[in-house]
Amino acid sequence: MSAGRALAALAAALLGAGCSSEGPQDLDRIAALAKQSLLPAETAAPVRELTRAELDRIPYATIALSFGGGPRSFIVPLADNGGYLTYQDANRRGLVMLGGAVTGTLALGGDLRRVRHDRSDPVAYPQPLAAWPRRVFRDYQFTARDGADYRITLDCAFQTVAAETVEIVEIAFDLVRVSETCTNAARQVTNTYWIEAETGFAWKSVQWLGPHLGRATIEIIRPYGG
Amino acid sequence: MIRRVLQRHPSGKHAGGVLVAFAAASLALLPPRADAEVPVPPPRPSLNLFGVTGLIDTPTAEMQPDAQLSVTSSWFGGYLRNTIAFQALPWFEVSFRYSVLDDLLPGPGETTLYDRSFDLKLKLVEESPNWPAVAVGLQDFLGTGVYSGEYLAATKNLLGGDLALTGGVGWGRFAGRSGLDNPLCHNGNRFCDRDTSSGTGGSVDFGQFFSGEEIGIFGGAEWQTPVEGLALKVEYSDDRYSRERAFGSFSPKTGVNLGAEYRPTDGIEIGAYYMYGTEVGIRLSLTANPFQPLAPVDSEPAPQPLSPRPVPPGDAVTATRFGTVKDLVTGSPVTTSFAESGIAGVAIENRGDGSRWAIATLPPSAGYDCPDAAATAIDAEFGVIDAVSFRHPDGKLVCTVALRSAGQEAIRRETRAALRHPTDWYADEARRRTAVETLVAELEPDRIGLFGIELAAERVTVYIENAKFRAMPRAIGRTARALANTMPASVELFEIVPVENSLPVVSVTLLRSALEDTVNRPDAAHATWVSASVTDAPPADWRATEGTMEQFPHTSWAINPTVPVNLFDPDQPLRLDLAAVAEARIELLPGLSLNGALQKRIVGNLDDIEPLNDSELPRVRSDIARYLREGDPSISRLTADYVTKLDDSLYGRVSAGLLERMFGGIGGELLWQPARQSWGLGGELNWVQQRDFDQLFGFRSYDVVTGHASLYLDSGWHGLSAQLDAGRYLAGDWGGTITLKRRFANGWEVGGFATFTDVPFDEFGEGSFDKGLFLTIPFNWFLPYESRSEFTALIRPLSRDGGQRLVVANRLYPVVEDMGRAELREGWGGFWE
Repeated sequence: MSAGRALAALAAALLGAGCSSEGPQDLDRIAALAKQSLLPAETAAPVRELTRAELDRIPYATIALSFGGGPRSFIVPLADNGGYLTYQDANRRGLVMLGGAVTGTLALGGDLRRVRHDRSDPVAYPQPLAAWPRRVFRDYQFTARDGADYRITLDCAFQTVAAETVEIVEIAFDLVRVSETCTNAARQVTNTYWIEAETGFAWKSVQWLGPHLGRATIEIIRPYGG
Repeated sequence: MIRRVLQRHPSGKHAGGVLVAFAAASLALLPPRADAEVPVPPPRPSLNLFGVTGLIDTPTAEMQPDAQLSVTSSWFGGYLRNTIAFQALPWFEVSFRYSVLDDLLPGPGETTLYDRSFDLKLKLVEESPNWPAVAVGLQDFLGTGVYSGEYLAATKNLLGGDLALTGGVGWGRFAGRSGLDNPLCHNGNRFCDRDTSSGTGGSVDFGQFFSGEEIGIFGGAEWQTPVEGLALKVEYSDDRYSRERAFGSFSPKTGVNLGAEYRPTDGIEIGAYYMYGTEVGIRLSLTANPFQPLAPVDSEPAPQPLSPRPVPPGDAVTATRFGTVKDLVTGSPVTTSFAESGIAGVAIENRGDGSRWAIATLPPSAGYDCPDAAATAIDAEFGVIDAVSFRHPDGKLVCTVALRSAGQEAIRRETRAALRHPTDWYADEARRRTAVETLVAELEPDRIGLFGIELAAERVTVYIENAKFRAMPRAIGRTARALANTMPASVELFEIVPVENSLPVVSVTLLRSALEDTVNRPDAAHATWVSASVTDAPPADWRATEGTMEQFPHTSWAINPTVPVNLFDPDQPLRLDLAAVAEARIELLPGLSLNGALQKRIVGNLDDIEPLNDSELPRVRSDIARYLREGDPSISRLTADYVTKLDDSLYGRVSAGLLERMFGGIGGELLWQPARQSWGLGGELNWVQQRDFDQLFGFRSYDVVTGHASLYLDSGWHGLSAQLDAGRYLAGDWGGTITLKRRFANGWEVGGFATFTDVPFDEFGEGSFDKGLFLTIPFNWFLPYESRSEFTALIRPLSRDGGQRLVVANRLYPVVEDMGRAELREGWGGFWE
């Protein structure tokens, strides 16, 4: 162990010397954090993706969430607040969706708080592809590190790209890929939706969640109410 | 509710309505502005060897970002300068410096000068494309005056901020080489004389400012190189270092200084310099900003989802209140004019929730079909109508058409609020108990304790103890979610009362239906704040509150390490101990407690402090050396305390016992602080006797009655608050203390205080009067989890006997300070998080 690590370990031990009747205190937690930063993290076992048969055994609506081509997390909705569905895992992480649009993220770090959608926004309020407007405005709401709220307002234009067959965990869907380019004076982001043309229902999407989280892939394993 | 009945104009148009309709239509056509973006932190200029914003040994006109706090140590030529600088306001920089200056005192004996000094700088002109920033500064304006000087500086950034040019003119320490006449000095007026001798310090000599026979010029450039974080500096300083030269400790050859500085990360600056043609200088600065926490955000578990009560489809309530509900929020075009719609009359209602409704009366010939098209015509005629209700002349409500989201929300909210849920559960004690137990379990993961509950069929009052969240609105929000998830459906009104130290401070009342209608929606926190009622919590009858008395007596204890520090002793500027503190608390009843703390030194050198023998006042603090030497282990507190709420906004406290390390006795306090008011009044009276140096149970002969009247004022401007205390201090001296601090929503506090009493400056001793700086940093600013703990530091340049106040562990104002309506509103953004 290097001198620096030894010093840090000593500091951690000193900090951990505190104790109380109320259980773990700040000093205990600081000590745990120091220890965590000193010791190499245990290598996590590779995540095995669930099969469709296994997913079918989940008796609830289910979505898959993934970032940057990483493994999917399967989460279920725990509350329906007027169409806003809160999907959360056991660690209370997850996201909120309205229709096919992500309107909030939960404990993912640098969370998207809310999104204000136009009532005509077909991603949040699905409608047949033929009725989709050319453009909508969205107001993404965040909290800065200092606790102050800020918004990123984007002007989003839709473009139908192509009909495609998309596989979502062993099931193929015939869908239409719609590309959405959202811009303001400082940034341009692209969202992609694979939708059912007749209903506008988005079975799969790659959506921008904010400057910190970047883009996430959301796939509908079993639709809510379906 | 404002009701205005508008009858049809003979022409079929209402003149005012035409204008409003046109304006509304125009607004509807305009797209929202797509320019809102991530706030960009302002650039942070570099610091100089004095630890303030500047070049190398001279200042600039630039300012640090608002609230930036920096700690700098620099050294050159045998001079060590340690500075804490704070950007107190966007245009006001203050700093405190402790310098160790070798060979700057005449021998024989100690030749090192330990000097404390204060600086301030005011921005006069903001930099603009065609104009430089201009600032005026006072250096060492409150100290011995070794570094005393005043200046005017101008700085202009060029090349997109890569090159900053500074020029300035200075007096005192900033004048020396140029030999330019002071333009303010003529005919031997007061500006011609400048006293360069140093006294005991602590007083401001306003007559010295901008005086002296000569002025100097200074200036230079800072270039941000293409290498990330590396900057090069060159400057000309007019300071001749005359005093240093006179003692032979330092003789500058030139006024030109060169330097290179590097920022390895945003919070660290290191610099190396070639100074005055003879010396090498170095600097290390650590800097942080309350607005830029070090801890990652959103790393804590999210709140539990809020499960709304089910609304039966086609509910009778909806039919009764709204008729058939139709939704035209997507924006249907106007297909008929108001004149052609046949509507007999329209009443406009501006409702309490902010929505604007039209109640339209159909013509007698109309049937009972909903005339959707008439709704858009009414919107165009009367302008910005959120919903239209159509009523048949026979009185029957035909339908309600929502035209805007506000109308939709109002319909939802009213429907929820009007739903009648069964209340039979309330008669069943087992079901009531289950509801409470479920609530306790729901709150437990968030470390919110249920101090008491008053449950009725349609309302609940919960008294909560928040052990986790620094921002109280977040604890209130989590409690509201827990109530919505656990209370029987008939409970519509939630009253949440945070309890601090057994004191119910403020009451937040929320409608459950409003919560259900707001959660997850855009601007949810704002909407919740608008619908919430925040008032003073009335005194609680804990015996009548379910669950409270069962928690008493309650015992708690903790053992923690502590590091007491002693600064600025010329013999050894930094002394410290590592000690252990064991604390125990027995709460016998709500508000009544026994508190004790025992401290034992493990290692350190605080007991090396030499006793101070020149005090002419009762030695109320200057015997600190004996207390430290003879008091190990020491009982630092052993008190019986009672705190209570006497009225909605009146608090009381009585404490008796060993109140602090040096005094024991009895005292009482009253505080009047309404939650809706930005100011409060307090009064405190104590009789105390000085404790023995061993800090056990014995007392010395000195006793005194001490107390203060206090005014607490929250300015609401940049988080600035003030406290004025007037009364009698421990040494029997009479006077007042002014405390100014800047408070941040995340819990940071930076401030200072000064005490002036009837003890003359020369009798007080070095420093002239008692003063100090303090800093509070909440743990969750730099640690990745929620905590109410905080780090607090008090820097007192000197501790003498004048102007010393009794230390009391549980004064009332800090308990209520964060619970005012304004403070809750400031942190309300976290309600749903």
